[in-house]
Amino acid sequence: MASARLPNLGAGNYFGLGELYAAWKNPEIQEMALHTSLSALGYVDILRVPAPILEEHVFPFMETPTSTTMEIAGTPVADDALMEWAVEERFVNATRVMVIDLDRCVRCDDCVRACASTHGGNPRFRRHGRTFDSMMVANACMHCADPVCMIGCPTGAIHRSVEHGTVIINDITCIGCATCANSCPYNNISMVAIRNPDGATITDPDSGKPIFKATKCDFCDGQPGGPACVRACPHDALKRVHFQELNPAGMAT
Amino acid sequence: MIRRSALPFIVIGIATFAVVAWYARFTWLELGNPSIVTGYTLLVLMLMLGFFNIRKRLSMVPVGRTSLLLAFHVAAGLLAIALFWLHTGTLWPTGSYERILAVLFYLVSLTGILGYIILRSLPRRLTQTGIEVVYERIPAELGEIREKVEALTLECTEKTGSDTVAQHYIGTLNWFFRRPRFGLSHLVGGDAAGHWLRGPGGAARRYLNDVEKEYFDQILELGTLKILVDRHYACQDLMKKWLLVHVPLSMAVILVSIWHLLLVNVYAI
Repeated sequence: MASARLPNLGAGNYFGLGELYAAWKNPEIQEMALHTSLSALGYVDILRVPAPILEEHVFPFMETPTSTTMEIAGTPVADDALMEWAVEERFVNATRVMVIDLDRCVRCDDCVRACASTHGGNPRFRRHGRTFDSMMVANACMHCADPVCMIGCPTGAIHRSVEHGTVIINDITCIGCATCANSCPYNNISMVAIRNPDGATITDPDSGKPIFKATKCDFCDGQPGGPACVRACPHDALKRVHFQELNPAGMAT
Repeated sequence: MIRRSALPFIVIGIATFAVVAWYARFTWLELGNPSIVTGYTLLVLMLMLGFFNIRKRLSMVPVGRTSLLLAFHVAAGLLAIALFWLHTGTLWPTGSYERILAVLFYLVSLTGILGYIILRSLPRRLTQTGIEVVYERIPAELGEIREKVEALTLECTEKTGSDTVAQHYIGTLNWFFRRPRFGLSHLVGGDAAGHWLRGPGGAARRYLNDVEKEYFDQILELGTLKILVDRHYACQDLMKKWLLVHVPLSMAVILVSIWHLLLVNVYAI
C-alpha cells in the first residue's frame, strides 16, 4: 500500500497525542495503533513524553484533542498534492520562497528588472523554476530554515542577518571559493564576475583572470519597503512566503 | 474582470467625478466657464496616469506597490474617459485640432482597455500549456525542436532507405517548423495548429511502414510541443507589444493636451 504524506510538523507541534488520549479514554479497546508514522526531513529535536506521565498529569485535565493528523489522513489525495510536491522538491525548508502565480503573471519581467536595478544591474534570481499547477517556485534563494550553504564557508561571508534572519553574503569577505554555490541544493547561488563602477571586469593582478564572487537573493536586506521584486509586480503575482504557510487558493495566508 | 484591489479606487473615482461634475455645474450657474474646471482636472489626471510608466522604470525606489499603482491607473483611466466626455460635452468635437486630440484620446483608452483584458486573460492560457518558456528563449527553443525534427528525418531516411518522411518534411512540415505559426488562433484560444498537425501535417502517416511510423510519431510529438511554444510566443508577444502602442499614444495625448491648453489660454480666454 502506498503511503501518503501528511503535513509537516514543526516546532511546537506534537505527534501521536490523539491516539494516546483515545487509548487512555477507551481502555476497553485493546489495540489502539498509530495510524501515521514520523519521518525526519532534516535535523530534528524530539521530546518524547512517556505515556504514563501523560496519563497521570496531562490527560485528566485536558479536553479531547482534535486529531488533526487523522482528519487530514481522510482528505482526498489531490488536496495533499501540493505538500507532497513541496516535500519531494525539498521546498518545505523554505522560509521566504519566491512563489509566482502563473495565472496572474504576465511574464513582463518587471520583477527581474526591479531586482537588477536594486542590485547594481545584477539580478539575483531567475524567473524560472519548478511549477506545480499554476504556481512556480522561482530560482531565488529561499532563505532556508536549515541552510546548508552556510556550512563550510571559510570566511563566514555567508551568514544569517541578525536583524531579519535572512541568509546574506558579505561581499567584502567573500573570497569566491564557490563552496556555498556548490552546496545549495536548489542551485540558487551564482558565481558572478565582479565589476568596477565603470562596468569593467575586475581581474586578479597575478593571474589576469576575472574575480568571481557568490551572489544570491538577499531579500533586499536594508532596503526600506521590503523586497523589490514583490513591490514591482503590477499584478500581485509574486509573493515571498513561508512554504508551510502557503495557501494555494490565495497564494499565501 | 477588474481586480478587487481596483474597487476602492473606482469608488473614489466615481466620487471624484460627482464632485467635479457638481463643481462644473456650480461654475456654470455662476456664469463661469465649467470647461476650466473639467479641463484642468483632466490634465492633472492624465499626468498622474502617465506617472505610472515612470514609476515602473524607477522600480528601485520604494514608493508603494506597483500593483496598487496599477489599480489606481485602471480606475483613473476610467475616470478620465468620463471626465473627457464631461469636458467636451460631446462624443465627437467639432474643431480639427480637437478631433485629433479626441482620436488620440479614444485610441489610448481603447488600447488601455484592450491591454487590460489581454493581461487578465492570456496568462491563464499560458499556464494551461503546462510548460514555461522565457520569451527571449523562444527562438532558441524553436531552433532546438527544428534541429531534432531534421535529425529524426535524416536518421529515418538513412535507416529505412525511404525518403517519404523526408519528402513530407520538405514539402509540408518544414513550413510549420520554420517559425511560429497560427498566432491569431493561439491568441483567441483556437486549435488551428493542432488541427493542421493532425490534418496536412500528419497526412503522410498512412504511406509509411512500421519503422518510419515510429520516427514520424516522434516528429508529430515534437510538433505538439512546438504548438505549445508557439502559443507562448503569440501570447507573450502580444502581452509585451501592446504597450508599444499604448505608451507612445499616451505621451502624444499629454503633449497634444498641453498644446491645447496653451491655445485655449492664449486665444479663448
